Amino acid sequence: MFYSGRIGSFGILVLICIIVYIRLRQVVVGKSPTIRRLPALESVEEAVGRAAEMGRPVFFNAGYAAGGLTTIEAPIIGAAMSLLHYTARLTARYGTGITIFLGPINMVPVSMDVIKAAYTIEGVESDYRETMVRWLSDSQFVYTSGFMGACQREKPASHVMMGGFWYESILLGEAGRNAGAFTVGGTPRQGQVHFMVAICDYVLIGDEYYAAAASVSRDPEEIGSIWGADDIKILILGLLIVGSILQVLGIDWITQLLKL
Amino acid sequence: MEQRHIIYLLLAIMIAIPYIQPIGIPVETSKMTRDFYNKLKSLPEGSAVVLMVDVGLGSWVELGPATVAVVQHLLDLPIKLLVSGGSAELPVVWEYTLEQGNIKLGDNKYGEDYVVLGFITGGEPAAAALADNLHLTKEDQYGTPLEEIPMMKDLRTAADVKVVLSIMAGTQEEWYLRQWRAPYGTDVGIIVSAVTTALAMTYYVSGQIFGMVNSLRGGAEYELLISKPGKGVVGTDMLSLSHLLLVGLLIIGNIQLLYEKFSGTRKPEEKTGG
Amino acid sequence: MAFERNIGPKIVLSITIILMVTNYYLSPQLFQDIGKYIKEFVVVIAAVMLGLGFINALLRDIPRITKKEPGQWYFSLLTIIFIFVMLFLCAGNKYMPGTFSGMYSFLYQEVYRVLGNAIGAFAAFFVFTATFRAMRLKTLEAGAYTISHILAVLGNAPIGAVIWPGIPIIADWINEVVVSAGLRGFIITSSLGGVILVFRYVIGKSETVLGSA
Repeated sequence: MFYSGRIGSFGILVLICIIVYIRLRQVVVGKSPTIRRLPALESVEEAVGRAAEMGRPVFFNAGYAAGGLTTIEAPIIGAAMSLLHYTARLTARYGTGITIFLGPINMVPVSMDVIKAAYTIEGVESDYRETMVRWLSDSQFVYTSGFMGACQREKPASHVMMGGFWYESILLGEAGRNAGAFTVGGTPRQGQVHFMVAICDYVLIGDEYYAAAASVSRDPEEIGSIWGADDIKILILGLLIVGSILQVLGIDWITQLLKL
Repeated sequence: MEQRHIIYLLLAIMIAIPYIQPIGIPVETSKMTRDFYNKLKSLPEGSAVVLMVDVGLGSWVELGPATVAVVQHLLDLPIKLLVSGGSAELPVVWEYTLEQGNIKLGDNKYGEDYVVLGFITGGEPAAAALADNLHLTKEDQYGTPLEEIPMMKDLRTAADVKVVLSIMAGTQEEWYLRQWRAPYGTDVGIIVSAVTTALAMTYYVSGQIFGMVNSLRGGAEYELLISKPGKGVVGTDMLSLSHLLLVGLLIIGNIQLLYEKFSGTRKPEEKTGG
Repeated sequence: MAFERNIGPKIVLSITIILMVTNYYLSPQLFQDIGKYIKEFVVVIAAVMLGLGFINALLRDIPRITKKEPGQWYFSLLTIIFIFVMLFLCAGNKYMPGTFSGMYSFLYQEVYRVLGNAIGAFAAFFVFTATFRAMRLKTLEAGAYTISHILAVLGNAPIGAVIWPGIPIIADWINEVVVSAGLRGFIITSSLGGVILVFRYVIGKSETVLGSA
């Protein structure tokens, strides 16, 4: 019935699902973990405030993230939408307006809905414009050059770059900085974090990104997911430590179990 | 002139110097390039290799030399080559590779030794779909039904493929590890941009990827391995000088910082852009 | 209507996910055939999305031209012109290659490629300024970051071995041990995030992919 060599991973998959389900149920009945203070998240309001003072726009970038919702980038994009919603609400409150730049075409209707919802919640639905969502291109360099041009022409006061970035993160970040923008970044993509750290004034690294998305959305499902993910990480850490020690001692039953 | 403009100018000069007068700094072959080369060389005659082109011409400067060298090597080996990929620019990249790289087709016959399937959109699901069914596109890039192409008769799924190679600038190696290697056991090799090398290193160290050709430097190494030096070797001089400039600037910048710190003349930092 | 908007897509999503999981883990041919069919269907959908992108580009740019949006309308006009020029040349290159292949090749290879490479080249300049700005010995962590960066940079260039043969060895060690270890943590957590999100889709606890924030 099962493919040989995949039963171990199926067992781990089931365990992950059970743990996450338990935590989701716990959050629904009112329990919740503490999400620590995230300076990068708090700086988003500072960024929007700066834009309001300077009378210049706020740019939001969710990254090229090729394919968007059809790929493994889907969790990153989902979290980016939560952060977009949070940023859009701030811009609605401060009256600065926001422009989001997109690579994947399938994100256009989603982003429009997210920003419109944010403006509606803040009671300024009339300020929402469809031009707040700018789809540039599905081609990475075309998307990047489009954003760089927009930065040069429109000189944003703040640049919030949170999402799934590929190679273009350094270009997007520096383009914003060269235009004088205060830059806040965040991505869980391992290959781009180092660029973000070098470019941004504040940055969310790795899982801080998901935690930030969960804490701004206050969505019980997102918080439960973060909580469950933390539990699983502790389990994995334990497995790694115990497994490594046992392997060194010549006992490989954990490895054999995982290879079942 | 702002500080960054001076840096840009210095960088431009350092890149221009070896372009005008090549220096010839010796290039040592790294283990990951050598592993890539040895794996391909050790393939039995008639093995099927799939080359996935997942970049566009925008990455040509960095990945072009490696692409040309690897394609030439593949065509020199007694293997069956399928060319496909997730990049919409695949047709142009392939033609450009053959043309610009002066690739010698030798005795290779289209349809018997190599086939271009064309690009398949859809990202990782497309890679998965191709692994399940190599006849996914029904026709090759030129409109010939795959059933009429001699070399495609025995090639049905990724299980019939010994090696899948990806020319990539993102994290597509994970696609092939998940959709080709894990279910079918196909070995994965990558030609990768420098940014992604660090990421892919994890998979190389664990043995999941058999070898990596790391951007321009790897391209130069591969050119030397196949004894056909080209633009990659020329480019490594520029790489060396520009890296040397970066290190020099970092050292100067930090000396300045330490001097300001110890002499008490350091200004507080602004947390704003520019 | 409420049923179609919320429940229908969620059920389709959940079933598709379960079928793809069974495709990977279970060997009976039925699951393999279903999985294969779904994957091919995704390829078709993705191809349709490309066409949608073209239509979206027109829908976005044409109003900008007609309304003469300041600072933007001429770029939109150029975009539309070049879209149709390339479409015409692509069709011409396919059906009358003798007539059109030269112009097509020129525009693609000598204009589009060069522009793409130029944008990629920006990265080199921007990395320089970003690195120069960021890598300062302000704290212990920043110092470790700077020193390992210097070694990795020199190790990646042939000149590193010329300066001192130990540089490539140390750079390789940094890449293979330190960087790999750190990135493994990232890979595990981001993959975990993916699994958890997909589980939430299956149990209907997430609607992000369906368009809700």
